[in-house]
Amino acid sequence: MFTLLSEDGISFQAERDVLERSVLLKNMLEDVQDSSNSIPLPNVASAVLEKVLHFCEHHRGDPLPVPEEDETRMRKIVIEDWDYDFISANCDIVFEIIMAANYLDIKDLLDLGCKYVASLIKGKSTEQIRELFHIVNDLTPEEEEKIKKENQWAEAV
Amino acid sequence: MAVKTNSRALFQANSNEDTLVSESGGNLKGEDTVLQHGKLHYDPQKHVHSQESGGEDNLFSLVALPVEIKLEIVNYLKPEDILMLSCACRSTRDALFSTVFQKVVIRPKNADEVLLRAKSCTSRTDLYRSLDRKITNEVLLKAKACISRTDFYHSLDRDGYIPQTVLPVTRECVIKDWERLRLPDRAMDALLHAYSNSSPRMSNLTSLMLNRVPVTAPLLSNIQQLPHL
Repeated sequence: MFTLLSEDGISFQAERDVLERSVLLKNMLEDVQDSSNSIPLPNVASAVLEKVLHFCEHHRGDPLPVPEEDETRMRKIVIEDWDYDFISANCDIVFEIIMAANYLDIKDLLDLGCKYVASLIKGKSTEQIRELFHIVNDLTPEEEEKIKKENQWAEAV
Repeated sequence: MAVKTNSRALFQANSNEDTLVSESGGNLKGEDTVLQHGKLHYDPQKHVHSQESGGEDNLFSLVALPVEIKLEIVNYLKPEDILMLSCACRSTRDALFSTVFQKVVIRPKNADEVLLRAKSCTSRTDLYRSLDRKITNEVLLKAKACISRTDFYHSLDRDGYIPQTVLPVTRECVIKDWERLRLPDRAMDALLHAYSNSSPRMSNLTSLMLNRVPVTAPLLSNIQQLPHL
């Protein structure tokens, strides 16, 4: 068992194959034979780390995701049932989870977070997107008018 | 993390790629506010609203995400969704217009109505006419605002449309995978003409790549009009 230390000082224990879902931790563990020292994760809060480890534990032993063959093609949003339940239950910290997955280099968790956010954006108007994600509109009325004209095609059919 | 800038090209083809699906066969339409997933009924709007961390000032928000993660998210979005997102604020607009919109890939659609019509039409004009008849008066009115016949054609199917807004910021264009369609010459001619007709308005294009594309006369004509090439 290895011990992780969150940014707020909470310790979490996990086995090697769980931690190795993270490329960052996998590389770190290759250099650490002695598991008595805890691994500090200064960028991940305990509330988020707990969820990340839950995800990694569920997916322990799964094949690691392969990179996209054609990165220019629009990707399909496919989410397994367990993953969907996981991410929607933690939607209040979805951006924290995405940032932690990015930092720890956990590709399947990063993909899941991005798919989930994309699914929230799909089909929404700019106004709805602002409202959903609490985005402050800092465009001037003139800029907005210009953009609206330019984007007429998107609302045409 | 293996995230590449500009990895996602704007122009996309397959209209069946936008559905949110669960592995067990549940079918979730991303366009709806309420997503249905088996037993679970979930209202993302309500939940995201209720969170304290969703605000723009917060370190963890959509706006605060690094550009490479924003690009990962837009990999799953259609052009019109990306445009709607890009207009949310100056930050999203700058981030997306300086990255994702710079590369356009023009590739064919498979097994869709346009392709079927292309196969059955005897000329380019016939193709346009057959498509025109499908349009309602309302769409016809809106189509008049489009710059060219190609815009009109593409407005029938937004997956195959390159938004006018994007054309001036496009730096790189790839036209690929057309030979595998095995269409009659006239159909290939018509489709390639329509799909490449907006390229002359890519006024800042600096790179054009053709890959498995028959160089038809209309395509060549459109390419010759590119100002920087």
